[in-house]
Amino acid sequence: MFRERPEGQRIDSYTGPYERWIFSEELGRPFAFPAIRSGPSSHITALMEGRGRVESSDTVDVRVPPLWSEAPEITPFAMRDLAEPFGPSIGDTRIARILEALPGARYRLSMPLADATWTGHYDPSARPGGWRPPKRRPKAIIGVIDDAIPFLHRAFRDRDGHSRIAFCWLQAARGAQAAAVPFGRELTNREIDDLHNAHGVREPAAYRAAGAVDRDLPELGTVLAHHASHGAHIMGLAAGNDIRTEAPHLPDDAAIIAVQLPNTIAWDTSGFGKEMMMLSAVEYVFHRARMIAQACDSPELPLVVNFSYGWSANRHDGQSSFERAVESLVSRRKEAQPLTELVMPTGNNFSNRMHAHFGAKDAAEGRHAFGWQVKPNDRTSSYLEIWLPLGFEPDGWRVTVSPPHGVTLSGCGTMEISPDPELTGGDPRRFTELEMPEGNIGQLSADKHQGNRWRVLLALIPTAPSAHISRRAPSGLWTITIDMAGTPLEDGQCLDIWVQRDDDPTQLGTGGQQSYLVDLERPAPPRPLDPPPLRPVRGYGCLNGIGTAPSVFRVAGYVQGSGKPASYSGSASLDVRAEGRALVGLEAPIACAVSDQDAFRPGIPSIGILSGSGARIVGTSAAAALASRRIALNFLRGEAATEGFEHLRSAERDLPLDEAQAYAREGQWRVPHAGPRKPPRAVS
Amino acid sequence: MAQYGGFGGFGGFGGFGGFGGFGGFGGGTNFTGLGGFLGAQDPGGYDPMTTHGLQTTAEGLRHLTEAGATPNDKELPFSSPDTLDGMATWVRGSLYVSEFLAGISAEAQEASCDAPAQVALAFDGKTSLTLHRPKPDLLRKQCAYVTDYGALRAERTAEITSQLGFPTAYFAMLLGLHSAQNARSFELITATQVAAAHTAMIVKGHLAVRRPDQLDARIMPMIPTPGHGSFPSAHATEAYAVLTVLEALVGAWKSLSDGPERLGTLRALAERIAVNRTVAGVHYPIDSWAGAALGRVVGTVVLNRCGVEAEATPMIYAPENRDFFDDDYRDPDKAADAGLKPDGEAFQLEAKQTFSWLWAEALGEAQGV
Repeated sequence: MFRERPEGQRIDSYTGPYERWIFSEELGRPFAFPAIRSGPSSHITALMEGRGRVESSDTVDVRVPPLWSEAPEITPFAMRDLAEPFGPSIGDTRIARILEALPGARYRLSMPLADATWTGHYDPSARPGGWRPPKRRPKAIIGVIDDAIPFLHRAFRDRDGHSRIAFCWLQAARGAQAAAVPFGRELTNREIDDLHNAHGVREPAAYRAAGAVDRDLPELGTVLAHHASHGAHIMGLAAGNDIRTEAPHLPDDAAIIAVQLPNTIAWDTSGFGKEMMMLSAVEYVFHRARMIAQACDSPELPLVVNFSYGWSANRHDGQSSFERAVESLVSRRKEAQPLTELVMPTGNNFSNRMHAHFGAKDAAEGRHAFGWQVKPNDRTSSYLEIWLPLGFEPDGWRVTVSPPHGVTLSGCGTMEISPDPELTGGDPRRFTELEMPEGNIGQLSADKHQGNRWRVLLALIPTAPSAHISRRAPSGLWTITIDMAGTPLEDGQCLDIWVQRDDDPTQLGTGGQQSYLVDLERPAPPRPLDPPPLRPVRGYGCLNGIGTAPSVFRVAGYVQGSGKPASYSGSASLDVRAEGRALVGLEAPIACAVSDQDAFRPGIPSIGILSGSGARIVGTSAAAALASRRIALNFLRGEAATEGFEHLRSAERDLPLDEAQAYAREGQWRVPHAGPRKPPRAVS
Repeated sequence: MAQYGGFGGFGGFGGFGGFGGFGGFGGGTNFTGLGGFLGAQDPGGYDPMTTHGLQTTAEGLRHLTEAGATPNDKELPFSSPDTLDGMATWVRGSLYVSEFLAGISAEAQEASCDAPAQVALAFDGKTSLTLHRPKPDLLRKQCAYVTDYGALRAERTAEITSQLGFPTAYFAMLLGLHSAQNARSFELITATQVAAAHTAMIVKGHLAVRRPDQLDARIMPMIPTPGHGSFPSAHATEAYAVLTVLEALVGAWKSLSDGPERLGTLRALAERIAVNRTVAGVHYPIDSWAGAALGRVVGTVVLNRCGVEAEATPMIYAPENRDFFDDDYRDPDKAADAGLKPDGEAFQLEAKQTFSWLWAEALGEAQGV
């Protein structure tokens, strides 16, 4: 049962299925990440969709972070509830009241902020404290957006010992009395140098003094006390000079702008809640890059931004809010400075059976059924998205969810894919709950995403028991049946299904277990070393769900020793056509870079958190970072991004099947790899 | 500490002889309690075959010396350090323990309306450290730190499990010590560790503070909870005592060109050894604060017993809810904020014969790098 909210307590501006799930106590909120689950917080972030200005009111204090875009299509902002600053934790009815106070437009909620991160006095036009403009105009700027940024590491100092990091925004750190960022802490090059001078080699003490380690702020926490982090590894590869990166040297005039995202950016497996922080980060890097250029009386400078992050589900057509926003940002900046790139990885889920692609011919008698294997002992929610063709109206369609064998739902497991006339405002949508005697264990929804593409979302609560919560979802093989007889798919139209990432980053300890799709016609998975067959459940099309904007520079991973794609490296979709040909999706990778040295040396090395430490990470994140570095080196010489890259193929996407498969996994270019030097040949 | 506690033998030194086979002194046995002294250089008995063979050989050769007299009338020097070199290591170990413990006393005071329960530790009657017993509410708050530090367990497992006993190897590797060249330096380290371990147990015994996992089920340590109280940390005591002694030894050697860097690393090592116990889930950060202060006292007393000039400043620790960092411990203001303050006039103690001999021997092993 879902308790119907009275007028004024419903999020009428827009309740997407994730918002409803995450913020509703009787649905998924008890299992959401701590910032949402625990509260209380009177601060929350959001995106405004559509042009316009979002303004403060008597009851809401609104802050827009530093924006490069003058009139963005999507505006990230943060807000503080003035009416109930110490009120109950953020739930959907309270958020509804906050949103009610904002004018017009449509809002998508993101994660709450810890109160302590709120800047006392925020002046977006202020010059960041202690910033030392460069003496000489940098030839290129490298932006890095990641977690746990080791901004004091020796790899980011120039030959004089000064930091090459011009700005570093720690989004989840304690707010300053006055600052040019709305929340968190911004460190400038001079402040980083002062920390280094004050603490010398005692980097842990310097991180504490900087407020970069703070156990009272869970979104910041003590991640920098670890040996290694994703952010350290990636930033070392993209922008660092250190013996452990085994990469060509970056000169001192490659400036760095870094953003450290909140720790739990990788927590909620839906990807929900991150967009505002991510988009703010990209806008911030662009904004501060312009600040550097202006200080040098220069037009926009060459800029490559590495953002090694992503999630699995989403539209995959470049039209999600975040993707439209970055598309606008990158394409507009390219008009001012052609040497601009936003680099993202293709993801690591090619072999994880997290995507399926069903066409008209797969629907026997107007119905199609597939399996969803949900693992036991999963301590996070699991999500599955079904995307219909763009613009398709599924009149008469019905989706039915059947639990694993031996389990019976006490509540509804079936729903029409059509608008609920009761839910006005926002996208057309419909919700129902999956119920068992203990309560809701899932939510089934259909929404016409952004008014142009229907999505069915199935959300399940954890399968592991939780303390004080009696409900849990049954693990096992769930069956989802779509009755399409009302409006059959035409040839060439298809359903795309993605499962959200649900793994368990060690540092977070989420306890996630990755669910996967099962082709009920052919349930046996391929043997691990066989070539992946092109069945409906396939790796092709399993690609970073926030990296499909046309202007994004997508990077896949390959194995240095074999030259072949890494087994996990995300791939573009393939539309198989007659006569053995296939069309590669528009979201194809641009390039591939090394992500594994060889089968017995998985991953590539880079730096750890403290100067002198090292780590090895496996995945396309590292490949993206290597590509970013190469692009930066090209930009420093005033050359195009792919100059010196090995050209594998043209942009022609209609290819014989085997060539299409290669394109979908490798892209058009191969990033050169320096690798470890070979020992000198013995002279006899 | 004391995963492999050696205290069972403490009551009777004669019992040490039965523990042959622990072998190489300083060679990494790493047992706590009596450390490498446990049976070091004690031959034990020969195997039965050899024992029998020695008897038949003696009978077979006796006719060659049957008529001779006992020739040697020279005595060993009386009460002299000159005999120490000829003693088995474990025997010297007994002497170090005796010399160190002879002057120690601890006065336990019950809680009153004016003051919390506390223990005052004294050497030769001079109070050197007073530790207030932490209250249950503080311990509960400290459990939050212990839980947080658990996030580091996966990456510190090797360190934690190889530091269950005395982490001598870690100190040795930072100074480039080798048992062939630095036998007495190792012996000095072990004597210091043993002194620190015994001192910590005396204080722990009075204060009787529950371990974190006995208060908070979420902590679930990755190693067995030791069979003694939590406060102060004996690992921190030992590490900071060894650090104190090695700072003086390296300074006296005057032979390491990078001495300051090495000492800086030694300090960070002492901190890391202490913090690793919080990571493991068996110590609160306040245990490390108390242990570091106690270790400094023990190290200074060892130096005094060695005849080295070093002043001990009496301290009092009334623990506040703080995390432990070496930088904060060294900063008087931050230390005071955490509850650690000076508490009286500095003092020195008189030298002892066996320790003085050991120091002189260790000084002769200067590392020239």
